[in-house]
Formats: sequence, structure tokens, C-alpha cells
Amino acid sequence: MDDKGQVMILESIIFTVTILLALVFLYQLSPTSTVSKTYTNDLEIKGDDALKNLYTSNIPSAIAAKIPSGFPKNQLVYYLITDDYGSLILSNLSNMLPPNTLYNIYISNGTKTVFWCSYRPPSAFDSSEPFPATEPVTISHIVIAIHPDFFDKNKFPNIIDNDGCELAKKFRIGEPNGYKGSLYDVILEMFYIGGY
Amino acid sequence: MNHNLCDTKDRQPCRKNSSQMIVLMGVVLAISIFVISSLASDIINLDIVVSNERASSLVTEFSYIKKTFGVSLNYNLSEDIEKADNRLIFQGDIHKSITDAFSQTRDEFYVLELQYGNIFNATLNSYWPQYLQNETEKDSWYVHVTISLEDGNTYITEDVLYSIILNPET
Repeated sequence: MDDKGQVMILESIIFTVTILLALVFLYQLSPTSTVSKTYTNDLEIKGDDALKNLYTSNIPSAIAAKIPSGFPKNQLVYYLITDDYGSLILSNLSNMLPPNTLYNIYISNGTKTVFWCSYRPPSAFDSSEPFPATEPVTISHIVIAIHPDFFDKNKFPNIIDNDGCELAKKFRIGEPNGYKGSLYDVILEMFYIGGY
Repeated sequence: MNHNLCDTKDRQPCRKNSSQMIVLMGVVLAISIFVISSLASDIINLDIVVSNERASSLVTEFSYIKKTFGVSLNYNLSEDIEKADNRLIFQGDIHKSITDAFSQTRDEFYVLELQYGNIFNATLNSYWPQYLQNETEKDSWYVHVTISLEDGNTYITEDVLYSIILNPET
């Protein structure tokens, strides 16, 4: 009789443990809410890699040969200084990001953030105003350095056209109350067409 | 004579014990399947965990900052840029401006990184001339800096030696 009681207790304990483990099992297999986070994480990684690639790779050698030594020759900085939206976006950035991705590019100096250009596939970009973002929005960024003199069209007439650089105008570089530093944050705001 | 311990007048307890052991083994088998399935589901979610960790990693951010800090410091030290023979000459006096330029660079990085919830700090350790072309012409300098970055979970710090090109003003 004692043995029967002990075994029944053991069975009840094992039954309870089994129920708890079944609940844990169901919880582990339940649909996770991280599916959309996976997509934004992957897009953030792609955005970071794309910006890094543009910052570390140089402009075509035919263009680089005409630029004095010491002037930035990496694609990201050069196309920002020369307002070359087509080369930066259509020829480079769009090829490194998923085809159904829209993005806005902002430039920040820490205290002020300005809009630079936006892209809508397959081949349209707009430098007047950003596209309205649709959730989820993914942000990638990279910190770059540009000396204020690099925006001077008088010092570099072969590089900067007579209208001057748009970035210099927005940050009022060269003006008495303008930005005098050299640090910029290139912000890539990405989202899929139609959201996710 | 074969004596079967169960072959007695009272066979009920023996048969009940056998069946209870069988049920117990079945339960243990079911529990094992549950545990293995839970482990398998954790492994399946690994690609989600890895991409989340990489996207939020501070190491990538630190590598950009480490490279750009030196460039920005060089630019902030340069008071003027002149062109000569298709090359640029960064003019400045490092002895006069190293402290202010370093503070300006550090503060600019601090403000930028703070927008992303990261705390940036840098310490100027020392600097000395690096004679490259002409022993009497000091146009290259080594600047030894300690930079650090943290986001509340991760703290990264590294001693970096930057090579600064700075020509004395003519």
C-alpha cells in the first residue's frame, strides 16, 4: 500500500512537470513578433554596408586624376560635395539595397539636420522634399569628415560648379554664423514600398 | 521448479507495478521529445537573433568613428588649405591649436553619437613629429589618442595612433 501511494505521488509530479513542459514547448513554437524586426535588422545591415562601401571606395580613376591630391576621393564625400545625386543614388546606392526600397538621405552636424535627396525605384530621385515614410522605418548612418574649404567654389572651381554646393548653402558654410566644423552624419532613412 | 515471483495467489500488485513502470517510461519519452523540440525551436530562431545582434552592434559604429576621428582632427587642426602642384597643403600650427582642435573634434563626436544613445569620449595622450621627407621639416605628426564608446550594454575603448599632415604656416 505504501508503494502504491509513493508511485501515485510520483506519477502526479511527473504529470505536473509534463504539463509545464508542454506549455513551455507551445510558447517556444508560438509565432514570434520578431518577423518584421528581422526585415528591419537586415535592411539596417544592408544600409550600413552600403554607406561603408561608398565611404571606403574611390571615385572612377578618370575623375580622380583631375582632382588634387588631398581632396577627398571616396565616393560618398565626393558626390555630396559635387551634388551628384545620380552617381550616388542611381549608380551606387540603389544597386546595394533591395529593389523595392525607398529612402531619404539626411545630413546632420549634430545640431541641425537637413534633407539632401530621396529615391523612389526604379530610377527617380528628388532633392526638393523627402518622401513620406511608411512604417517600419529603418535608419542607417555613417559619420564622415569634410573640411569647410572643400565646399569653396573659388578654391576648387573645377570640382564645384558656380552655383555652389547645396550642402554648404544649407549649413551656411563660409558665412559668419554658419557651421565651422568638419563632422557630418549621413543618415539613410529606408522603408519598403507599401510598408511591411 | 520455476518460481515466478509473480505467479502467486495475489498477482494484482505485480501486474500493476509493471504497468505503472511502462506508463512512467512513456511519460519520460514524451518529456524528452518536448525538451528536444524546444531546443530545436531555439536553434531555428538563431538567424533572427544573429541579425538583431549585428544590427545593434557597437563594433561597427566604433570602427567608423575610429577612422573618421583622425580625419576630422586633421581638418580641425588645419586653419587653411592651399593648392600647390596639384596637391593640397594643410596649414596650421599643431603646438598652438592641438588642444582646441582636439576638444572641438571630441565635442562634435559626442553630440553626434548622443543622438543615437551612445556616449563618446576621447583623451589626448601625446603627440610628436614624424620626420618623413626632410629631417628639418616637420609636416607629419603622430597623435596618440584613447577613444571610447558605450551604449549602456557595451563599452569599447582603444588606443589609436593617428598620422596628421600639417604644414607650418608660411
